[in-house]
Amino acid sequence: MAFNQKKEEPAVSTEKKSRLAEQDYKLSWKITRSIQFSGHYAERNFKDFFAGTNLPSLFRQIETEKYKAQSALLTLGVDKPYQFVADYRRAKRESNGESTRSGAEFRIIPTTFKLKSGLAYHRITAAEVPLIGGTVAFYSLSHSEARLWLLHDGGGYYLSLDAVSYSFDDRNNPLLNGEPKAYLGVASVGIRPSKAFTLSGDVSYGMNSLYKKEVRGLLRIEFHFGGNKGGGK
Amino acid sequence: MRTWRTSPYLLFVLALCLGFLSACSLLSPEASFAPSHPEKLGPGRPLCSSCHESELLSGARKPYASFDHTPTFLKDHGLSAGRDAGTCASCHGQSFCSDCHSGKTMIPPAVLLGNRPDRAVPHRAGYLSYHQIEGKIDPVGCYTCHGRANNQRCAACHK
Ligand code: HEC
Ligand code: HEC
Ligand code: HEC
Ligand code: HEC
Ligand code: HEC
Repeated sequence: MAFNQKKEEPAVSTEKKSRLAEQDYKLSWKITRSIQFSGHYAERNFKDFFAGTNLPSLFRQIETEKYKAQSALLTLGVDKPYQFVADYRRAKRESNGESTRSGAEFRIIPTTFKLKSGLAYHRITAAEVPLIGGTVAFYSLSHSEARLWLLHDGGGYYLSLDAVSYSFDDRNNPLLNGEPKAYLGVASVGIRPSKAFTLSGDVSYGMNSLYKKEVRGLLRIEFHFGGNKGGGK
Repeated sequence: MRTWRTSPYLLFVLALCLGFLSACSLLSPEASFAPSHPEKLGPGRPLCSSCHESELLSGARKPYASFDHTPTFLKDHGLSAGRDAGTCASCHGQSFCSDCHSGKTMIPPAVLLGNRPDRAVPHRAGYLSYHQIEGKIDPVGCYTCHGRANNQRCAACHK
């Protein structure tokens, strides 16, 4: 069972609840030609969502719950081969407390040279959440995420590499099976003999809390029918 | 408690509003969108303002620069997709959007686009073990794609 059926009464919130189920506000500001900023505010009141059924669903998890999030994104070098994107997000759920996600990505996208690359780091700090009927009373969801990717597109062929690592703070987190680190690497090679046809293969290697070692292979054949749409994708 | 039955006028007003809305869409500027983009684009994400000077995009009545495919635009692309869908259609076929959005493709976007690390796919491969944590922290982003339609896979565990 993935969902804990909470039997106890939910804590009474003193905050006056809004009657709007969903609210989103966005602000986008182009400061100069190559610097852009955007801010976002979202609020969800799950109790005010209309549901045509009373079956529990992913969409209505805890009916009384309220959720709020604020986020900001800053891009430097919009039209340059070196791009820097910093992002910050703070979310608050009545059931699981407050969490923040902050980090940055650095991208190199040269126009002359055909190798693109990116390096990113994010830190996610989250409140401790209660574990019902477990060996510990609370566990933490905080973790960090690092990522490196490379893509070489030579027109008729391409090569890519994508590596991600997760490192969780709390090894007592029951969702991790005692394994606080997770890695994943994907290597891919593709050939494109004509515009309408692509043949590619991926090999991925990973280590996570479900599988000590996970190797996957994938062969992809893509046809583009009627794709003659100018600069279309 | 006010009920729908007590206010027949409300229904009438609603019908009137819907009428106006559909009339507006018939007259909307969307009709003037180019059905396909006339110019071939280079590889990567386009910056419209690099070719189109600061004039307004006629269909959307907005500067071309507001469609520049910057990381900020991509993060919030849902907003433009909702309002200026006609603009997107001149370059993107439906299948481009379904790579990430279709619940009918039983392949997670990370696998489908595993050969394109430069694309902002919503989750990397091997996600099943990690989604529980990300979903707990910030589930709202998940509902844009899950929870309304493609639930079959989820229902195996989320009864
Ligand atoms: C490589 C240069 C280039 C880029 C980048 C580019 N365009 Fe264009 N676009 C053109 C050319 C050339 C035309 C045809 C001449 C014209 O009508 O202005 C055109 C035409 C159009 C038209 C039809 C204009 C009309 O009045 O019928 C639209 C709409 C358009 N572009 C939108 C965009 C958008 C949106 C973007 C960014 C996502 C973009 N373009 C990026 C070069 C470009
Ligand atoms: C690379 C994957 C990807 C592609 C391709 C993509 N999207 Fe999205 N889309 C997302 C993600 C991820 C979100 C959720 C963003 C968020 O809220 O943080 C989203 C959100 C949206 C939303 C907002 C949904 C809501 O309920 O708030 C709309 C509308 C949308 N996309 C339309 C489109 C259209 C139209 C296209 C094709 C032109 C497209 N998308 C292509 C990944 C993608
Ligand atoms: C002038 C053509 C043009 C127009 C108009 C256009 N796009 Fe794009 N878009 C592109 C190209 C080219 C790419 C790069 C595709 C690639 O990397 O394979 C792209 C990429 C994207 C991506 C994928 C980002 C990623 O790399 O993960 C999204 C999402 C997207 N566009 C959404 C939109 C939406 C929404 C609209 C309408 C408001 C729109 N586009 C209008 C040409 C266009
Ligand atoms: C842009 C749309 C989009 C967003 C946003 C999104 N997903 Fe998905 N996700 C998909 C699609 C499409 C699939 C594949 C559909 C399927 O297998 O039924 C998928 C597959 C999955 C899977 C199965 C993965 C596997 O390896 O079998 C899980 C678990 C999942 N998503 C969880 C989440 C969670 C949790 C979130 C929010 C943090 C989220 N998704 C956000 C589109 C999205
Ligand atoms: C292999 C089993 C499994 C599958 C399949 C699965 N999940 Fe989960 N999911 C879990 C577990 C276990 C948890 C953690 C539950 C907890 O600790 O309360 C979880 C938690 C979540 C959460 C956080 C719930 C919350 O409110 O805290 C979301 C959102 C979520 N899953 C979405 C999805 C979506 C969307 C899919 C399908 C695309 C999916 N899951 C498929 C096992 C699964």
